[in-house]
Amino acid sequence: MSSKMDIRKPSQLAIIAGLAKYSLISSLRNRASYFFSLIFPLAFIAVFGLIGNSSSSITIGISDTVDHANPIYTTLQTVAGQSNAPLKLATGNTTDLETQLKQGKIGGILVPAADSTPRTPRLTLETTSGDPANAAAAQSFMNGITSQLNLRAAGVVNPPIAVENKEVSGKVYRYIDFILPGQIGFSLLSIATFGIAFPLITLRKTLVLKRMFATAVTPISFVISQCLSRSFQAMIQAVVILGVGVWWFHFSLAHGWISLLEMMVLSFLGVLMFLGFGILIGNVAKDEQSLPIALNLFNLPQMLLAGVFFPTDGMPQWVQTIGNHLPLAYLNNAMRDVATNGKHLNEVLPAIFGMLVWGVIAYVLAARVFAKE
Amino acid sequence: MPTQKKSAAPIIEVKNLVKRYGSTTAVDGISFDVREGEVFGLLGPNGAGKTTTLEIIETLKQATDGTVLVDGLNVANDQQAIRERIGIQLQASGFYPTLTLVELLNMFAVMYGVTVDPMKMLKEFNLEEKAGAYYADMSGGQKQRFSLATTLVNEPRVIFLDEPTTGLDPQARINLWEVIRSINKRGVTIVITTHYMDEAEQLCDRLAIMDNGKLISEGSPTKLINDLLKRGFKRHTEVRAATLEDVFLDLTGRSIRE
Repeated sequence: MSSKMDIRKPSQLAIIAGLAKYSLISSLRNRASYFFSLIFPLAFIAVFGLIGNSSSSITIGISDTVDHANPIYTTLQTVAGQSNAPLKLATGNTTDLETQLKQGKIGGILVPAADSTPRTPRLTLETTSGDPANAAAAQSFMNGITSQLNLRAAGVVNPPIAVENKEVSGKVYRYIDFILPGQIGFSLLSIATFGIAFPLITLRKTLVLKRMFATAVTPISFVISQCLSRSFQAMIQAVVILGVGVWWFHFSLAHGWISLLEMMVLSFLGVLMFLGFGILIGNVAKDEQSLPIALNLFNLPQMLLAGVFFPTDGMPQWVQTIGNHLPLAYLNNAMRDVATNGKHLNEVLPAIFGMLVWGVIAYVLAARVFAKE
Repeated sequence: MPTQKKSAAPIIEVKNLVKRYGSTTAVDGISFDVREGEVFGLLGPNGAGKTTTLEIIETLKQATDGTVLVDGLNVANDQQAIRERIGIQLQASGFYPTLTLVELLNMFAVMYGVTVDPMKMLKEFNLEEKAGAYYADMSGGQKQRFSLATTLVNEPRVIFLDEPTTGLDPQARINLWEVIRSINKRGVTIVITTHYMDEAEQLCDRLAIMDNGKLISEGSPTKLINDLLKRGFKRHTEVRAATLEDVFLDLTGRSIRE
C-alpha cells in the first residue's frame, strides 16, 4: 500500500447506470411515493369510471293515474325502451314521485290534467323551481313529444318547417375518455416533481449528497441517474393506469396498439419535461417545509386548468388561454387527440413543440440555479 | 498507543492555507503536514476553522490562497484523482433510507468504479447479521461502524473521520477505537477531528490545535503535555486512583450493547 497506485478513472456511464438502479430500488420500496402518482389516479378513475354516464339522460316520472292507453304514455315508453335512450322513466303513485321530484332525482312528473277527457287526453307536467336545469330539460323534451304527436293527429306527415338532427361523431365520447389521459398526466407530473424534489432535499440535508460528491460521481451524472430512475418508474405507472383504463373501463384507443405506443411516447416526453421542473424546484426550495408549497404552486394550477378532472370549456376565455398553454395541458390534449380522435404523432406536433419549449426552459433555469451552488 | 513504525514522508502537505468568506477569514494562513501511516488529530473549539480546513483538503471546498497536496496531488487541479484515493466519514451523515447495508456498499463501489465483497466487509466490522437491514434500523455503534466501512470501499490511502464517537456509549466508543486502530494497522493514514481529549490522547500519534483560524500548537500528545508542564502548569484537582468511567465500565461491563 505504500506505492502510488495508478487508479483507473471509472466510466461515468457505469456510474449513472449503477446510481439509477439503486435509486429505483430505493424509490420502489418507498410506499409513500406511490400514493399520489399511482393510487390516487387509479382510485379517481375507478370512481368516475363506475359512475358512468348517468348524467347525460333525464328521468321523467309518470303517475299511476295516467291512462296507459294515452298516446303520450305509449310514445314515452317506446322512446325509453330504446338502447342508449336519453330518457328514463320512473313510475309510482303521485305522492312518491313528488317526493323524488323535490329531491331532484327526476326532472318532471306527468299527471292527468284536470280537464282531461278520453277523447282529448291532457297531461300536466309538474316540475320544481328548485332545479331549473332539469325542469327546462323535461319541459323541452315533453314539448317536443307532444308537438310531434299533435302534428300526426292533424294528419301532417311532412311538416313544412322542420329541424333535423344529425350526429357528427359516431363515437361514444364518455367521461373516461376525458379523464384517463388527464389522470396519466397527473400521475406523471406527481412523480416527476414530488418524486425527484423530495429525495433531492432529503439527500442534501442528510449529507448523503456531500458524501457522494467526494467520490468519482459528478453532479451531472447524479442528476441524470435520478432522471433515468424516475422516468422508468413513471412509465411503468403510466402503463398500469392505461391498462386499467382499457381493460376495466373500456377506454377507447382509436388505433388500438398504435395509439397506446404513441401515448407512451408522449408520456415519456412529458416525464422528461416535468423532471426539469422537479429538479428546478428541488434546488430552489430551501427545505422540506417550503418544498411542498413550491411544488403545489406549480402543480395545482395545472391540475385545475389543464384539463385533468374537468374540461375548462365553461371558464372565461382568458382562463382557458392560460390553461391551454401550461405544460400539463400540452401533454393531456395531445394524448386525448391520439387516443380519442385517432390523431398520430405527426399530427400533434404543436403540442410536442410546446412540451419541448417548456422542457428547455425548465432545464436551462435548473442549470443556472445549480451553478450558483 | 500505536506500535507500528511510521514513515516520516508526508502524505498531506498544507502550506499557508487561507480561506475567506467575504470579509470573514475562516482559515488564516496555516501550515502543517500529515505523515503517511499515522493517526493525526485536528482539534479546536467550534468555529476554529478545522471543518473548513478539512473540507478543503477533502476537495469539497476551494481555498482562497495557499497550497494543499494530498498524496502529491494538488487539490486545486486534481480533485478527481484525489477523491479516488481518500475516504471521508461525515459527522451525522445519512445514507439512502430504503437500501440495505449490502446494497449501500455496492452502491459506493459503483460510485468509485470498483467492486467489493459486501459480506466480507460487513464481517470485518461485525455487521454481517445486519446485512439485510436498513441503516436507520441500527444502533449508534453499528451505524458508526458501517459508516467507517463505507470509507474503505475504494481502498483509500487516507481517511478523514469527523467526530467518530460522538453520541456513543462508553462501550461502543472503546469498541470503535479498536476498529480505528485496526484500520490504521493496515497502513491507512487517518485524520481525525474530535472534541474528546481522551480520544485524541488514545488514538493520535500527533495533533494540531487550531483557534480563530490559526494553528496554535502541533506535536505528539506527550510533547504537548510536556510543553504545558514546562510553562508551569499544575493540576489543581487531586489525582484519583480511578475515574467515573472506570466505575461505569465496572458496573455495566465492557461488552458492547446493540
